[in-house]
Amino acid sequence: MAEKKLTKKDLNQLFLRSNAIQSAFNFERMQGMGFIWAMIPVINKLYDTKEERIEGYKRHIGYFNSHPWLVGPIYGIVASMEEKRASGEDVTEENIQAIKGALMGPLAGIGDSLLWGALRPIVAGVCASLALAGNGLAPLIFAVVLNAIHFGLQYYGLNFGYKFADDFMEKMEGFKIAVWMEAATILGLFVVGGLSATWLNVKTKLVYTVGDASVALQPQIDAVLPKLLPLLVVLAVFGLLRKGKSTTWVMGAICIVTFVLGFCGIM
Amino acid sequence: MGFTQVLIISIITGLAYLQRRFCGDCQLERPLVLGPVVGLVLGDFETGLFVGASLELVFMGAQAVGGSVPSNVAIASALGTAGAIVSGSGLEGAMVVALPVAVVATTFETFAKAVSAFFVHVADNYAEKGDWKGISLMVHAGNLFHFLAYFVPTFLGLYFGADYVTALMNAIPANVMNGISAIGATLPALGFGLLLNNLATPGFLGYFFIGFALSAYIPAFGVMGIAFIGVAYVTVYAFNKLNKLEGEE
Repeated sequence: MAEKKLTKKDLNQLFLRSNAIQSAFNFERMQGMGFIWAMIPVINKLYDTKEERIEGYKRHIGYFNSHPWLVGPIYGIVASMEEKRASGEDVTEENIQAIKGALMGPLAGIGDSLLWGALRPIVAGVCASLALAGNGLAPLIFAVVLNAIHFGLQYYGLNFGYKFADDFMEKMEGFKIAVWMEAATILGLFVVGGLSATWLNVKTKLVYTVGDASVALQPQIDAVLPKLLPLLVVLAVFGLLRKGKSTTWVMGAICIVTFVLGFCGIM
Repeated sequence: MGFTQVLIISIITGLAYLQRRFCGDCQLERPLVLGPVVGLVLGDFETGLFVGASLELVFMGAQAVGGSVPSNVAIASALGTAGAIVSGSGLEGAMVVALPVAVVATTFETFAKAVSAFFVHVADNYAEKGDWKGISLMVHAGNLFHFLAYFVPTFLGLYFGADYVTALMNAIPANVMNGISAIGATLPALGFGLLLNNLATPGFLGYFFIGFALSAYIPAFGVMGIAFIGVAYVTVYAFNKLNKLEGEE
């Protein structure tokens, strides 16, 4: 198989498109639609057969959620991995998914705390004070300062991620890469487990009565296993998917069941 | 406020939000930016600047975490600033309009995020056929609904008054709203389930449960703590395995 390589132009296009990461944001896949939109030209460039392209589209249309300013490194690494995969090296579908799964959560955490939690309020606070003092340029300063940092992070992050992954895979011997990829899969599963417990808020509002006292069910569940309900829902979805149910079927089922539960005040 | 001004402000508010979806989340829908722009459209930049900066300080802490929908700051600032300028009531007037609207208008965003979940499934079908143009179309369709989720309530609020929007939302029965938010809370489980389905190789699934249990019992770890432990563990795992493999050679 011939070696496939992305050009500087391809990476620049990926950078431009990576800014659309929050496109068609939805409850089910979050930034999944934004992620695939940026990857389309990369997939089309790297893969020649229709079957490979279809696999590629499906690989990147899944659940994705990270900080919109920090997705650059993930895109860079993923682009490099796709490049190796297209060149016939031993990079599997799971490896690519695992890297995405392992990186998105921690980067979201860093972004939410450092960028939304610290940087933005600081810049906003300074500029709002300027504006209250009558400085008409304050909104402009706010937008320029924040976005200089924003686009810098995104652009250099993407190129850094690409180069890092490229160097890593060029220098490593094949069996070592396989071990590190396996490690990435473990890390991915580990972090996705953590994300399910952190980002998924399925709770019950059910209250039952014992004698004269009414007892809320949720604190009782929390005492046994906090986040039991999110876990059960994720495992149920996983089980249904493994049984071959389509995602549309599962989505319909979730919508109907949870709407009824919510309507009746159980959720 | 003339019809043209209402229309321009509504479009600007919609676009300020659309850039969050499509153009990198540049924070242009913040009150500090939107307030003065609305002021400019209505011919009173200074009041816009003042109201925008004041609202910025009020809403500074509001942020979306993991797909939740926080108070709708953009629509609140557009209606609040316009209200303050038109009625001449200043900041108090703006706050009275902005605070309830910020809460109520989140429903529209929730709606757009739910509708976009259907577009994903259409995009899935296009992906299955290798039709990347179809996927792109669904991305843009989702974005259009997101634009409308800000354009429509801003327009209604400016044209009929903010009370109208609040009344409209209050007309929806509480248990229907509750049902919709239950769907919103549960749908991410499908995303996680799909991810798990992709990653779960026999023998490794246990790591999902370890990550889950650590986060569930010790929430203080947060995602960062979990990642920290995970990276430390897999590094040890990988080096052990590499040493073993090299020893065999």
